[in-house]
Amino acid sequence: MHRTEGTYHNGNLFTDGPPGTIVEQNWANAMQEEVCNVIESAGVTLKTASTETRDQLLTALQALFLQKTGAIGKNAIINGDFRINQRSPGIVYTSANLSGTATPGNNDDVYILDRWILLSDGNDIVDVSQSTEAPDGFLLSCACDVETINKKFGIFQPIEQKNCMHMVGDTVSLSFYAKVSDITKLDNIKAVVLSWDGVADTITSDIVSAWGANWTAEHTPSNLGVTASWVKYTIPNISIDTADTKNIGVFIWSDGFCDTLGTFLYITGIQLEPGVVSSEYEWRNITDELALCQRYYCKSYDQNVAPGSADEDGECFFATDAVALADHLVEIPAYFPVVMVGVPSIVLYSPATGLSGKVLMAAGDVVGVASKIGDNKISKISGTNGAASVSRIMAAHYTASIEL
Amino acid sequence: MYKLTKSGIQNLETTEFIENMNSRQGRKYQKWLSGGNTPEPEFTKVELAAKKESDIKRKEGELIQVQIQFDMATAKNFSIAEDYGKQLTKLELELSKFKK
Repeated sequence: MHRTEGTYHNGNLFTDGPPGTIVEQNWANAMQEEVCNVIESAGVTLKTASTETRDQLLTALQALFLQKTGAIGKNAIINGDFRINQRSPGIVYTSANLSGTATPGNNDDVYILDRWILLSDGNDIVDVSQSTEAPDGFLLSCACDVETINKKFGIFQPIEQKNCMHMVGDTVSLSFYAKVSDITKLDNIKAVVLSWDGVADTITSDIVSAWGANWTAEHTPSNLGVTASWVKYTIPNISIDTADTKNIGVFIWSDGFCDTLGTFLYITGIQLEPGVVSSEYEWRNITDELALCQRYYCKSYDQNVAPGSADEDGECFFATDAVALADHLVEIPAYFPVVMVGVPSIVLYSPATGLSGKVLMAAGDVVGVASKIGDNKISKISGTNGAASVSRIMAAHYTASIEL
Repeated sequence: MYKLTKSGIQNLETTEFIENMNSRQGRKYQKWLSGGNTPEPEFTKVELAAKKESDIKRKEGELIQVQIQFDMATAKNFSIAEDYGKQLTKLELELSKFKK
């Protein structure tokens, strides 16, 4: 679509028969602006007479209403607004979360908020948390708080092959909201869409200094000029044209050096969608969003309870009584809330103490074993106890993880 | 850092049970393995001894249970007594194997 250069060029067209209806300048301009408004509100830049393609209204309508959808909706990013935080609800991911504890530390290449990997040039570069600092219409954002100066950091989400193949060979658009606490300290925020041509769903994720083998940037990332106010940034019309692409990933990062501790980068509303322009952020029902996350990570604890807590609610439990005095083995199954992407790794916790590797039995915590693990359940959580005089019980919590 | 288990590997640092070697955790283990490391056996000698003792106690407990059922069924002349008798023989055999 382009705007006309004049409004009276088409006069005297009706030479035969009754005179045609006179198209008034005001009416023609109104028509033109109605159409142009639709196109521009979809984020499409109007063309000129020389570049006219006569398909921009269609593109705009598709972007606004009919944009191609995949199995999980138009947004291929899961937890793009950071409402899900199963690993450590209410807790900041810091270096104080030592390796081996239930809450991940803020190390490089570690999954933190659901489906997001923290990538940084070393460990303890930024603390990460869910923040209530968010643009209008959003509840939360991902807050990255600089803990080590002059190091790059960012967040990365790889997308499972089955959830991104509809975009391979096609065009996608990336959008997200961001702000920084001090534009003089964090002044080089970038975002990129990457393609992985290695083995499907078997990615390497440590890409902070270089994309690494099998990852290809599908466009040249540039400084977005993120400000101290919430702004929606869009990178439209990205061709996913790397041969043999199996997975797509989105990386948003600070490519500059920050020399001041306590400087924050906030990000939320991340959306990767098919199409040449970015559309409004797709709000998912929280039940759906959680289920999407649970395909990769789930737990038996309540959603607001961090794994490793001493907490009985939701525990996997078995009890019987009137049995003889003897050592006894108890084996119980535990079902995952959704079928997971593959066979996950399991950590067991005692609901009494929160200790990992333990299950609770009649005499207290004993070593627990998870075996015969499938993508929908742990067939056996086992524990062996000494003689129990009255009852035999077993209680256990679990976390199951099969992140890409 | 890792230990063999009946159905896979356990990361001793995180206590994570890993059966899927294609997973992120499985690939990490394989990288560790290719670095010349060796996982610990499923049971140490001390754990094996403790397991043996526990297995014997458990089997003895089962034996007592079946013996009670057998005695009751025999006293009442129930035909199921024969089944309990067979179970007793089987358990006694298993127990003797554990004690070896």
